[in-house]
Amino acid sequence: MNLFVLLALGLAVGFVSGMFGVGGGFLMTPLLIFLGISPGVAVATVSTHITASSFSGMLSYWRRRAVDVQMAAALLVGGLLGTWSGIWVFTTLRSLGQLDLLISFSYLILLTVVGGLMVLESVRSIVRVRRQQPAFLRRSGAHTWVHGLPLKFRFRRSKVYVSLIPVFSIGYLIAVIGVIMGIGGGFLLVPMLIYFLRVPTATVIGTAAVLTTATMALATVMHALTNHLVDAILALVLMTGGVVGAQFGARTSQNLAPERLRFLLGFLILAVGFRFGYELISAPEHVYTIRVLGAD
Amino acid sequence: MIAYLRHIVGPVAALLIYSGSADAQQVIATVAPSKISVSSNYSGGSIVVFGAIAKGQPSRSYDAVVTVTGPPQNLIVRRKERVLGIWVNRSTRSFENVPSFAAVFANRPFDAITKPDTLRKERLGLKYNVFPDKAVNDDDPFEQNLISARIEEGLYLEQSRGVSFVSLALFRTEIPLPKNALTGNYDVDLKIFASGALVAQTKSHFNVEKIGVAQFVAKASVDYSLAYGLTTMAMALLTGWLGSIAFRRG
Repeated sequence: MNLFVLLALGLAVGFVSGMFGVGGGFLMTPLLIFLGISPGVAVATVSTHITASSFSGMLSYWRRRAVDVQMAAALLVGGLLGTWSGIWVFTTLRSLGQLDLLISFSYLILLTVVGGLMVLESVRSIVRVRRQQPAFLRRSGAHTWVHGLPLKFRFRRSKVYVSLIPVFSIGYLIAVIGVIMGIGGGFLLVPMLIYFLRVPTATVIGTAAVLTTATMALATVMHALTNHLVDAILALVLMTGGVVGAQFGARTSQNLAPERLRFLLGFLILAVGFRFGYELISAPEHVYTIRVLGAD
Repeated sequence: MIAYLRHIVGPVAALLIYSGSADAQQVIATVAPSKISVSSNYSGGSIVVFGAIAKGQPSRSYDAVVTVTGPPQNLIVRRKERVLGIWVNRSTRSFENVPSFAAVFANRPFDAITKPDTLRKERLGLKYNVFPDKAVNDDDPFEQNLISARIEEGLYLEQSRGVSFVSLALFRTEIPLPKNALTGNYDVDLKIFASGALVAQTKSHFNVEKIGVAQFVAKASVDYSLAYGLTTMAMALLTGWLGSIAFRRG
């Protein structure tokens, strides 16, 4: 694998992630797979890459005091358990020879659903802006079924009073998905925290970054320990490009309208999802594959 | 070439003196280099095997078969099948102690050297060197695909005109070793035939070892996986921290 191709890939994905304010794992992992790196190595290595990029983000939010420590700790309880479960699923399916299928299938479903919803939503708001209608706003006091759950806790920094059950569950779910797919899951986590828990925009991204950093750091160690699939050199090249690229991306995004940005991101996610679908149904280049036991 | 010859002339001369009895042929061999150091920019190389036959009858013509096998591996071969429109790994087969590298070189086609029974018994040809206890079954798709995939990678080779006789009693062969050759000990097996009968044989070996940073890292990831994982994580956190300082706003 060419070093400059990988550095360029890190820069490009970093640019996109900075532009849209996402971790970029959902782009980085698929692109590595499409470049011919085995899905297992791609997933494990990108978790290292995301550790770096989300830690970088987390520190900037921390300095701005935009992290809800209590909420982050509660999310982490579920998150660390989820990381462990994710590693277990990953290792089990790998030994059954179905890991690649699991990864492709997860990407196909997640990306087409999320990408499709984003495109639809952004097209609606673009139309709304054209017609000069006001944006649809949810009433801030509105409660969902989540607020009826027991075991409530008051999160002071975010000023929300909510059950711990959905907080644990969200942390758990994001970690499982993240570990299996090699994504930080920010593009799922942030909307979930806003929609289900009513976490305010001031603290949501910083708090999400804490969970992502911790789960991906643990995932790196556990992937290295169980499956020996983490490629430290590849990760270093990717994260160097990623951290630099993100800065340029963040500057570019300031010149674009948010609904157009969401449309572009949704379109990108959808395209990657379709590519996975195509790979699953098209005839494979090699019907027979060899796995050397105990070597990789 | 000259350097290799210098290694041989001494032992050959010594052997010629000692092989007093009329019909007892002996073969001696040198493998060069005896150690291959592979760095991350290694793009493949080759080893040269020289053999000399010390013999009683000067005008007799010989055949030589050189077999090189690399460190054994346990493998799983999987076959994808279409299920509900999706390609899925369905059937699997595992193989034990399959050589990671196998090359069988001879000076002329195997069936011209000796009869089929002897070919099987002496394991002459690639098909007798893949599995420890049996020949490759031509009708088994798993075995066939295992072999063809490895031939494509340059890990399995068979050349019936790969050995050349420099003189009636001196031969050489050059066996290419691909860049993905495994580290470890490689066995070199030389067999000499005359009129279809095995008249002499000898064994030798060489080592492949990997050097350089990339190889060190690859080895550490397996041998010291916890330290490797923690170091990688620390590296990621450090990079993230550096990134957040370098691009701090204001």
